[in-house]
Amino acid sequence: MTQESVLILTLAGAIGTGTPLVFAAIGGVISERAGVINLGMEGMMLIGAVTTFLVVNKTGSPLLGFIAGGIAGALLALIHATLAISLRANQIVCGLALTIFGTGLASFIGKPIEGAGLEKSFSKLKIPFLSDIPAVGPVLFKQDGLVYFSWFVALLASLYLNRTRTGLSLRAVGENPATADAMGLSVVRMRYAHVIIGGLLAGFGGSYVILRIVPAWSQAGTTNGIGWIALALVVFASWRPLRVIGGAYLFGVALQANFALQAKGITVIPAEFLAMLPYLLTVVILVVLTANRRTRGAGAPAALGLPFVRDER
Amino acid sequence: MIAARHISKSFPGVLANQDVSFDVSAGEVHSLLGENGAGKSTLAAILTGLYQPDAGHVELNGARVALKSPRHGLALGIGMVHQHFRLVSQFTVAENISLGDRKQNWILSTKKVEDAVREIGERYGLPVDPRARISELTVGEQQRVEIIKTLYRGAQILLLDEPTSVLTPQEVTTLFDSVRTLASEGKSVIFISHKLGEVMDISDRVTVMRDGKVVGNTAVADTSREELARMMVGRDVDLSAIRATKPAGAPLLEVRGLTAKSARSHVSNASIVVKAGEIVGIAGVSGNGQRALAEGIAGLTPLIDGHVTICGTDVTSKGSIAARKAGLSYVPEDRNGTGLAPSLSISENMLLTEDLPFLVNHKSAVAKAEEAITTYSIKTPGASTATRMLSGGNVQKVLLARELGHDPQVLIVSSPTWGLDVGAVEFVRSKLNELRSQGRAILLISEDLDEVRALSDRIYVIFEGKIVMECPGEGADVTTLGLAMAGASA
Amino acid sequence: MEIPLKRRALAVVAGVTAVLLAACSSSSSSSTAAEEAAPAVEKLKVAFVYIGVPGDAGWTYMHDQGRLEMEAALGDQIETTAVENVPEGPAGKKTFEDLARQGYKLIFGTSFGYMDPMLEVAAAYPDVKFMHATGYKTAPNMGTYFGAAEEARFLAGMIAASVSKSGRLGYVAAFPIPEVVRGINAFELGAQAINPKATTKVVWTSTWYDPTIESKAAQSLLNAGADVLAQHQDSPATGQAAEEVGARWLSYNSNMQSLAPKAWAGGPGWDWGPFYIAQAKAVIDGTWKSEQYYGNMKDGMVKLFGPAEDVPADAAAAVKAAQDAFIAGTAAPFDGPILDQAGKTQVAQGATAPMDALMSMQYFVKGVQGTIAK
Repeated sequence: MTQESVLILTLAGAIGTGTPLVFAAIGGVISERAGVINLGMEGMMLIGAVTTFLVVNKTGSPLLGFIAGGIAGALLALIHATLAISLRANQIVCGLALTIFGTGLASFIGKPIEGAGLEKSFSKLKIPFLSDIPAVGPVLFKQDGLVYFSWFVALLASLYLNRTRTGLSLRAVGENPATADAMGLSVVRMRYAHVIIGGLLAGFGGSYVILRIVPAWSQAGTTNGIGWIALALVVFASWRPLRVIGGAYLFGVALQANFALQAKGITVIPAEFLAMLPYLLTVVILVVLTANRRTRGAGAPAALGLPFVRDER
Repeated sequence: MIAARHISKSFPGVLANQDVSFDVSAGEVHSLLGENGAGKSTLAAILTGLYQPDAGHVELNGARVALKSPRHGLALGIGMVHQHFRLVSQFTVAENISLGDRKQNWILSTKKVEDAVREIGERYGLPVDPRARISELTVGEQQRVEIIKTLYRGAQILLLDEPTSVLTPQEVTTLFDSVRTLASEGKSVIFISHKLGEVMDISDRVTVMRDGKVVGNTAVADTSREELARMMVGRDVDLSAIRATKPAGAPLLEVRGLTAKSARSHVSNASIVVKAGEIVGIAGVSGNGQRALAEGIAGLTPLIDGHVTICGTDVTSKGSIAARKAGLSYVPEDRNGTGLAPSLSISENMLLTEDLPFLVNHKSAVAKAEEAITTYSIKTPGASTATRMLSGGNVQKVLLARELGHDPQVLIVSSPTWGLDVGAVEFVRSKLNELRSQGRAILLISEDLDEVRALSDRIYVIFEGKIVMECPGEGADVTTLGLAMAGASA
Repeated sequence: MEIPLKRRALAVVAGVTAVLLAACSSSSSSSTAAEEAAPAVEKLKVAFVYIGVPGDAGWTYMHDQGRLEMEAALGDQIETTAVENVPEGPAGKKTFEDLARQGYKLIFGTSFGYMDPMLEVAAAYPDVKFMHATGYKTAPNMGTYFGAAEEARFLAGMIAASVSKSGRLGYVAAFPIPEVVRGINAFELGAQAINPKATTKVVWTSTWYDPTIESKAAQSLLNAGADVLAQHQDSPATGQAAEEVGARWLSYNSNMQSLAPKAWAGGPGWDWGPFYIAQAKAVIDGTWKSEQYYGNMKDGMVKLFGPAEDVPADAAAAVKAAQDAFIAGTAAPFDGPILDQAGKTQVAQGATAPMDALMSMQYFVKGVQGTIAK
């Protein structure tokens, strides 16, 4: 046991809990910024989780497992893209269908590993010097490599969306596909690419759950609805990658607050109520944040959920 | 600089362009004048590379070019500003201009673009803040952004498609100044319009199109409005101002302190009087409360405050049927939608406002519709054609035929000639004038200031839901009206 | 163009859904083969109704292991099926009806909430035998079964106290029902047998399987100073959290040693196989009768996995001795004196808590830190 204070331990723990959400919600942000809602996120996370498990136990490499989990999520997203973009199916319907499909498929391919344990995983990486900073060090810099990677992804996503030519095109495709089309951009290609990237990140999120939170596979129980929380987080983070990080960690802290109170012996509030507190708290704080004009983001992409049909005469 | 040579283009069932040729030289403002469906848009699409001609070709600086796409056209210096802007409203000006620009580095540097926007703005009199979001800009400013966008991409030839339809008179003046500056710098401007006055005002030369063919090509200095109108329509037309010949009678429509909300429109404390034998115009830029005003009077939206009296009957908040019974007819702006049920036939639409018996007599309805088709010369395959199949002018005629069939004492018409060709405009105007001579009261709501000025005996100006000005129609000054429409306190 | 396109898309969506449904249903029932081969003697058809999936590695997994043991032992005398993810309450009723109608003569329901639906269906199908795990209602053709997990919990508490440096234990608890409360108390009593000063801090998760939440609960206990954790849920997330910081862990249900090898010190669990085999045999022989079966370590329904090899030898010996005493019937986990948190005597010196007191236990013993929500 370390001699760190409970607060620091709680914050450090919140980061681990929030990390699958960071991956998945940033995936959601990228997909939705292109104008495609991905309700299949939970399914993609599960596919990512089960694939990671299988690959890690086959190859002994957590890194390969992580990558494979992402690829599995991306493949599922490819189905979503085909349905939602090329066939212009209702995004809500095919997203839901994909969650059901992903859950079923994951439990099907996960059948042989039910009850088995994950053989190898990542452990925490102390970053030299930085981890010695009082308070901040133990919270931020004594995490596993995937946490650092998730920060990198968030930062990259933020810079990509706001500072690059392709990011600008992506946003245009989500806001006003007709204009983007008129400006010579391929709406279809942009949407495909970003829905697939979204699936890749959701897959990473699922991988993280297996690699770092629960080292065993159990059908829908493994993610148990995190995909839906990630989906909500996309909205409450106003479609901004960096705000996703804040929201995800806030959720982690709120989740722990319940048990920290119980462990401290504070039991005025029933545990059942405390159990729903994280969801409530995360929503309230983010709504307050979104309601404030100064901190409000751009809001929902204007063409979110709408299939693109070129207006020809 | 750019030229069309014997261009023909057909779409299934339509010969949109037939052996069209015309020349635009550097530094020239060249208007393409014609009614809706005359083939202007098709020609513009061919000149920018959106369509490829079936026959003929485009020449650029004397050399034959095959334009593959608008992007290709732009690369060769041909830029188009569409009537409906191609802007992402959540983006800033600079972001919109960077969008799809392959000269940009992968890592965006908006600084460079911002500087360029400022520079182009100063040079051509198109001031706009490059960091402002499009949604924060006025329509006129958005149009500037569109023009800057094409100039930034190096356009030497600019096509402006009906650019004034969305502007206030002041904005039109500013736009025309910029267009002149552009021309003086050696750029060619192709100005696509059906508004004679503007064409006369801005162009050096005019090419007039009718039914897909070029019917005239002349320097503006050598022609007149009347001559151009004749070329456009193919016969003499009279669009000169018409006023009441008799003094107005008793007030038929009285509106006092009307406050109402409808969709995204709101009007507050508006008081209006329209007398028998009078056309009263409501001038204003679209979206300043016109819709709430009209629907408030017609009983289609509940009043928050105020009173409406029609022919002496108080119909305040009594609903549309009461207003109709008191003698009101309303021709809304949104013809196929609020006005007509688009998928119903002409004859069925004619029945919509009738007091119908339980069993509908279709035979008599069809007979009535056929009568209207003849009187109003509605172009349709028959009385059973759905109104959504008809062209804008004919839809308006169906609507007018129905509403005037009730012999209303008070008529509210909203943008009655919007999108109509000159021939139809002339018809609608004469019809309104006829009603006026019969002693009816007409409230004419229109964004087209020329129309309001040409027909109205009195004019109210509406701005942000308030009546901000009232003046006689005769001799109403465009500048004064325009300032009031833009909200400048007189 | 657009309408047919949409139709096509819908068709694809429908197709995808159908494929998935097929995948689900095929995974949810596994019947033994050779159904076509007409047997001379009619096979006994046995059905298992699960609240979750065997993949939970926990409660349902152990029941399914029992089912497989039964298949292995009785071979072609029986034929089994398992229905997964069956909800509790009225929704579950249809599953029991369907199974009874399909000719299943022995039906096991493995979740508490199946109690009333099973009772209703049992009344309608008197020739079908119903067995309900963890419940208390019976009928002429419906019995209950459960086991004295508290025996293994007690032993787990002994192991926990022996590997704890601080004597501060943590318990990631599921729902405040007697079964869970009993487990916590037995654990604490066992710990006190090794270290009288040992305490057990309890947090409730209101979950049976939610790794994210359970890992948070475990972390908060570790943050509050606990160095050994026990759990009641099915997911091994608590073990992962303990492994992470070098703490120790007592698992539940199955042998979870491989899931957190450094942290794992042992764990209570189940072996339903012998009981299931006996039940099927009784039905085949015609000797089955309705009863309230309460298994224990003696008959093998309740097991202790571990202790792990690094548990001190003297402690391991003490655990073995206690286990032997339970099996021999010379001792029970709830032998008095037992005081509750308020210091009130719940079980007197020399007495043992009777069955009904165990089944309705709603107090924590002294040394447990936490409260039971009413």
